[in-house]
Amino acid sequence: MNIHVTINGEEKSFPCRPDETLLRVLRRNGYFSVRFGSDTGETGAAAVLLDGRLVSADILFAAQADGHAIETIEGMSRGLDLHAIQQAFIQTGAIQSGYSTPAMVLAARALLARSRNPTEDEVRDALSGILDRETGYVKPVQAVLAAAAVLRGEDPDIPPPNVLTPIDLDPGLFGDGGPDGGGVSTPEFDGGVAARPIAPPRPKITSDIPETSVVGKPEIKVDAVKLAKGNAAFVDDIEMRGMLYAKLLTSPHAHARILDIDDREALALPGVHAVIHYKNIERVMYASGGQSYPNPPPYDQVSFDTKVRHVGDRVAAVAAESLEIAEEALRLIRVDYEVLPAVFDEREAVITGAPVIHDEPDAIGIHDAAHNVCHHIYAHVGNVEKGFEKADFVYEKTYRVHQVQQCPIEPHIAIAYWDSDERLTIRTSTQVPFHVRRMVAPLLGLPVRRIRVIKPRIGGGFGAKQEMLIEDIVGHLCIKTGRPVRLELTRAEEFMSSRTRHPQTITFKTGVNRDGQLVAQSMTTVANTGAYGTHGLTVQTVSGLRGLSTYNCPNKRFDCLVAYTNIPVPGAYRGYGAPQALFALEVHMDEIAHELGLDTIEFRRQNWVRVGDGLDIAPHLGEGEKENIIDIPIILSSALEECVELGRRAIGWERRNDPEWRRVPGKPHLRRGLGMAVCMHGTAIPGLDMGGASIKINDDGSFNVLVGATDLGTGSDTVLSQMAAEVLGVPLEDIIIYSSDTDMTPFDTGAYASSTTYISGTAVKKAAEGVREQIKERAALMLELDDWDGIELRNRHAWAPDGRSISLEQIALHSLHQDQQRQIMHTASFVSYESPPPFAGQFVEVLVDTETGQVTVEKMVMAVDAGVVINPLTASGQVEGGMVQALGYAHCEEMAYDDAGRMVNPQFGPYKIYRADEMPELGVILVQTHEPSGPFGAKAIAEIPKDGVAPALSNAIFDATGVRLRQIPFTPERVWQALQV
Amino acid sequence: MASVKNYYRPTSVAEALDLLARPGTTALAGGTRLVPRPEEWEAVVDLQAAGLDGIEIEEERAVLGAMTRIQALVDHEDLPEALRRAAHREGPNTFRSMGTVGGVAAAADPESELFAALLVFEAVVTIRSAAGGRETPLAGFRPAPGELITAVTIQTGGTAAAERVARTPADSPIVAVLGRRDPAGRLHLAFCGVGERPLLAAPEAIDRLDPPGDFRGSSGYRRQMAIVLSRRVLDALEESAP
Repeated sequence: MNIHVTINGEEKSFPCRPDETLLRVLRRNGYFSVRFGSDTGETGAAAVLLDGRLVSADILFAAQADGHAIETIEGMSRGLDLHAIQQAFIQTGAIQSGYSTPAMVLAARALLARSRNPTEDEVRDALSGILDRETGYVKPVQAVLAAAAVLRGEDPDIPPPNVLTPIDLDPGLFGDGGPDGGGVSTPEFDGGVAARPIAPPRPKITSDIPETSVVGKPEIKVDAVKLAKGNAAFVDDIEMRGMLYAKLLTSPHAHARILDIDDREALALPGVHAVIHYKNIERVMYASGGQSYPNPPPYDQVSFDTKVRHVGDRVAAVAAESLEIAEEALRLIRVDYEVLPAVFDEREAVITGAPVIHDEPDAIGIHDAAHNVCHHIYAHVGNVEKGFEKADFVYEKTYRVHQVQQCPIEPHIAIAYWDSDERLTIRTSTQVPFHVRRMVAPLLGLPVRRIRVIKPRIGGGFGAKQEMLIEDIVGHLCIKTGRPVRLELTRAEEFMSSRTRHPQTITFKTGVNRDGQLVAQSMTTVANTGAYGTHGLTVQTVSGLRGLSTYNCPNKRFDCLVAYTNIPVPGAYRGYGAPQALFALEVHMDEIAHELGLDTIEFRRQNWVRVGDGLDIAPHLGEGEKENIIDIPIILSSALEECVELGRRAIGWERRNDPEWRRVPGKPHLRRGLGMAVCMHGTAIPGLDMGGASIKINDDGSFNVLVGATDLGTGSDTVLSQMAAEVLGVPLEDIIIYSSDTDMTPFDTGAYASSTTYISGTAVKKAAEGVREQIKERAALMLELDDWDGIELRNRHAWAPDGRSISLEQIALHSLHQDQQRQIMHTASFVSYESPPPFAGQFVEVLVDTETGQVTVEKMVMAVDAGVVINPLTASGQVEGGMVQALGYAHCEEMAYDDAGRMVNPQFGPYKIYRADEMPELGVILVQTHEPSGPFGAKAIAEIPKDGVAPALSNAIFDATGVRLRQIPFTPERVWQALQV
Repeated sequence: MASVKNYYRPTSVAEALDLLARPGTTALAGGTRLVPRPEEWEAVVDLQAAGLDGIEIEEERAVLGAMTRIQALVDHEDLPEALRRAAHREGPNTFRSMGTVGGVAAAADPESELFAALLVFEAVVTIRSAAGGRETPLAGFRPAPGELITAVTIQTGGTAAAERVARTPADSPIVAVLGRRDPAGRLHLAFCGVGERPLLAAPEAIDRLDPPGDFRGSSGYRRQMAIVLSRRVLDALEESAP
């Protein structure tokens, strides 16, 4: 059939089938801003306006739109002339990955067409159909309110991010001055307006914070315009002649042997080009985690095995001329399974007699396969047992953290094709393009040099894409068929067949003296790595490191079993073991303070690490099994004191002492409470993470910056560009950054471990400094100076000490065309043996319904010391979005299973992530310190927001009700059960 | 497995009924539920042009056309506040902008607070079929082949209250209770999350509920919540009594 629509004001006619969605038809016709997030409507990534109403095009037959008017973002701008809403999204920093930005802009357009003066609630309602995993909705709401003001003809009132340096603070702040002490400008919330976090004090620059002109400024993201316009920037936004569609056949059983596969019927189906499985793909053992060479053990996976180890595990894959044919072919593959007993709980898996999950003889590096023990990790400092004997009190408690998924709105997607040089190109949504190239090569039987991996814009990753996950499948199918092959995971596959967060059972045992001094602390963990060991070792070593580093204690021990089970595979997820450990640690510390009758903050302060302290367990818990690659790291910068104090004030901590405040008049079943947690994270993996950067000058004095660093929406391209611009004395617009492509850019380990600002940033800074030297040399030549030591770069010019200047354009033209020609260009790389910790104080306010167990989170405040903030907009966006992900982990997200190991809620809604119209008030305070080892004094910020919400929420529930919750998430029945005791 | 091969857009109820008489054919309202899972159907009859939308407010009652969008209920200031609030809870704006009253009535989603609200407002479903027409209370209504919902009529008088428990403020309820005291003083109490569909129950019958449990709430928890929340609803109705 044909549908006739008016799309962005133009009459169009599109052929389509009656069962096709509007999403499919629009994308086929080049409207790439309408994006896939799921096929059940909940993500809203596919939102368009239908006769002015916001509808989700993935749950609308194209035929339903026949005769109607459709608007997509492609119709909202011409060239660089952007709509006020797009401008506002750019200026407020509301765009991270930008995957769902077109949908949000359209939502705003529909709202503002009805009302130019919307309330914040109306804005949140207008955005309620679009799930955002990145921003915490703070800046998108600001953007819509700002756009409304502009459309009313007013100046938008955009609250700036809160950046403070310690000197801004009252010197008496940390003496005995209580909450009222000193008349300084401390942040305060002004009455429940979430989009307007905190009245910002005037930042002052302390002597050790460098004076800069581009670094430290809220520059708009370098990719914001193209993302605001919905340009074709993502993996799926290309058209390839003859492209085939791949689909996965996945296991319906949690544990089974594949006795036989018969693909004859599937292959006979017209339009099917290949069916691949264990019989026709070579068996090459590998580890799928996207990590440095040599990948940490075990090597316990092959592309297609004769055994399946979880529901959703790979069985076969098909390439066909359409998705429908591929799906039909899956139904025609006959698989003969021998179903085996399964085990799901990590504590049961390691008991003798449990089903053995990895009995294949060719797996490498499994600690004790017969007992499902993937790894045994052990580290200690001092003598814990003696410490327990000496301590006045010993407390021991067990905590459980569960399984959640990263939920990038763009699922995993990859397209493989042969280029004209007969090299295999893989265009993929990955955080680790260089690791993918190296790791996929042996599986495909190709040398690394015949593979090129391109990472375009990525619609979020959060660790799920720190993996070589589907690239081997599109590679195999492309090699088999000779045609381009595309594979995109469905939302259900993203849950069950990609990666998740490791569940853990953690027992903390702590010896403490009467006065609150820690004497000994042990952390005993059984971690669940699911069916495969990817990241199983390293996530758990990070858990031990983070769990035993925040507080000084002479005797420490970490003892961890990493168990195989038959659940879908845990891997990397933003935070990487720290959220698990800090949930247990920070609830445990709260419990001890309560037991000892000590103030919970004072007890922590008495023990927490300070500048000059060493992180003594770190050398024993390096990446993988490489012990002692680093010395004991010493903390060089910390504003933890200030973070906790500022957070305490911003949340109104003193209300804990007010019994009136705890109750809600007329609602005796409601109780209020406040809780906090201290957070400390790392910055990159010392001795391993490496980033490279190349910078070259162009004729007009602009610069190409080529980086392997992988911007997955975080803004790293922007932050890296700011650093280059700062060194080169140019505005940000003179920097053209490109990331990342294994043919075009220097190596980078990729976007993980909070490393990009610090590692890749230092590489960019060093490369820019090299270019600066060459520019100065050229300027000296042109100005006929004997040396160039005194020359400075600023305002697009090189300035000689005598006041003469010469523009970078003149320098570029001179060096490229006129005299002693050369390309001004420099490449540098950086690896660090430090991993300076960022610190934070996390505060949460809750309202608990004691009759139902329902927990309502009313406010969250996080004050973070991330060193010098390179870009306050992107940095505060990282904290806002990270805190909301962390809230989901603590409060409502869970992968739930039936007895057979089938996930029962692989869909948003049943798997609950927060919407715009139900958010607690969020406050972010960035407290600057100068980290001597970081570029411009920077540390990391990406992961620490994941660490403190769960324990702070548990502690707040305790404060409200007196009930201690040691297992997340805090869903109503769990809380209610605890309240019954 | 079948897939949708034909799409029809009739311009009258009579034409729609003719089409729906064919095998493998179903009515398509907003599509928010049907479009993702159309596998069992060979043809859909899109009712958007059949003249079934619109809200008529009369004394003490309102007639809601079957194709009235959920958002239209939210926006209509003459409808009871409790009904509008329940309509707002039916999903985010992208669902409310397509979903319809008739779709809600036909689906009877156990978590639909709008369905529960329709129950307490004594909803009666108007049905047309080749054989003619009939009206039946929503509580006992089950969609049947060849039948088409054309309208849902509610009684708008009285006072209403609602209580719920959910994981987050905008989440679907684990259990929700809606109550209404009608102008004659009769109590109407409806429950979500305690059965296969939202249902009406008298306060004294709550103990006998046997809710299906899931990972969000066991059967026992749901029964207990039905007790707690219905007590709150009754208290609220008591307070607002004239």
